[in-house]
Amino acid sequence: MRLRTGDDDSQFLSTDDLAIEAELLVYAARVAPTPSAAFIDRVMAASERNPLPIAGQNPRVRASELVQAAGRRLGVALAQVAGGPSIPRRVRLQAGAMLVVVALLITAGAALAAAGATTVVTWVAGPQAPAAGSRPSASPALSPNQPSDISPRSDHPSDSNDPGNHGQPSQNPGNHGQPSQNPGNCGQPSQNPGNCGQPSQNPGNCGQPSQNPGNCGQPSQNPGNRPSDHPNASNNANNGGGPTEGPKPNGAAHPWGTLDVD
Amino acid sequence: MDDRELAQAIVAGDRDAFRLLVERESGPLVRACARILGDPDAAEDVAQECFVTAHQLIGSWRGAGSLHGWLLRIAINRALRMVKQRPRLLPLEDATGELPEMPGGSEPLAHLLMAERDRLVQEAVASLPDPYRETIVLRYFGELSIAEIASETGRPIGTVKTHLGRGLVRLRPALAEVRLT
Repeated sequence: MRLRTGDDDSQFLSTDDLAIEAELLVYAARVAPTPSAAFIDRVMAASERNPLPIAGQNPRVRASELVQAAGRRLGVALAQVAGGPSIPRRVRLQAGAMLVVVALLITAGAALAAAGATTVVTWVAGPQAPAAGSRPSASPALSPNQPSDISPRSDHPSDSNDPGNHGQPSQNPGNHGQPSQNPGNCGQPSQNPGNCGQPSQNPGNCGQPSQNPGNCGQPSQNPGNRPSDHPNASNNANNGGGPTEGPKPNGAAHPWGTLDVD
Repeated sequence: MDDRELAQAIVAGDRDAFRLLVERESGPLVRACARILGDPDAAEDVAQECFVTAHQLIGSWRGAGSLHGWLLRIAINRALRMVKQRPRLLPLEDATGELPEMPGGSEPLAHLLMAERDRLVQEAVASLPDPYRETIVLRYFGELSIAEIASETGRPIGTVKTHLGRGLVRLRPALAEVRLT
């Protein structure tokens, strides 16, 4: 025992601390066994089971040994838990049943969470335009190019149901630059001032005689269409709401209307 | 052969170097463990585990302190862990129903009183919180000086002195009971 009360390492202690230190030193002096004669041989034999120090081995070998040791420990632990005689059979059965119940609860919770997540994603994404061949959505949202069931419709019998060309070129080829076979106003001066020196936007009837012989100076019985409220309403100014002022030599009978400005 | 050369030889697989280390350090380690555990046989078991562990891990010794201090800290930590794990009540009778042999010989009462005092000291030291427990154990059970404790633990000498003083203060109530016995 190298320690002595009152040496350099004890000079900072108070009197009470020195008394406690003396008790500890007495105890340490009394309990000072020497190792048995076989102790060193036992230690050498125990260390021979690990012939090479782990720290000096190849890292790969060291890692494999650590994995093997972990596997052995896991096997021992599983054997103790599964078949250990210290655990009664009833307790093991209860533990197994509890594990099954916990697994079912976790599965049910995961299913509920997945359903909730799907609902949230659908709600955030909003209604989607139906794909080709798919059923239209039941959502009340309206597309600006689709006919509305809510917008007021004209009660006029000639009210156009034509939704327009939707930006596509007209299927009516016109007169293809050929002069119209329609004699026009039957020799009477037209009340229609024409295009005011501007070339007509209507190319004609493609060399075919017009099916519309005109009104021969008589006022039209067709009062025309009132302006449509539809966003794709016709650009034909003939739908001005009143009787036409004169015969239309090139008046188009096509239901989609024309670009004629008269 | 200094500590660093000894450690390098053990890492290289020199069995004689390891035997030299065991012969040199077995006495202090067994004594320190016996003071913590109060049982020489258990102390040898812990010291043996400590040497086997050191044989495997000596390559990780950084050489900051001494091999003696490094081994001592391994052994002390294992012994303190065993104190926590073992049951507090030990049977007085062995399997044959006979009382264990007492070194007190003809004065069994004095031996029992001494054993009770030893048990109180062991429990009082083991119940100290760290770092006071480590400092007290290294100083009085491991027989290290304050400078050696500072070197092994990496703490300043003043801090070690403070821990030692506070540890002794915390031991006063328990050891006062020892003095009464």
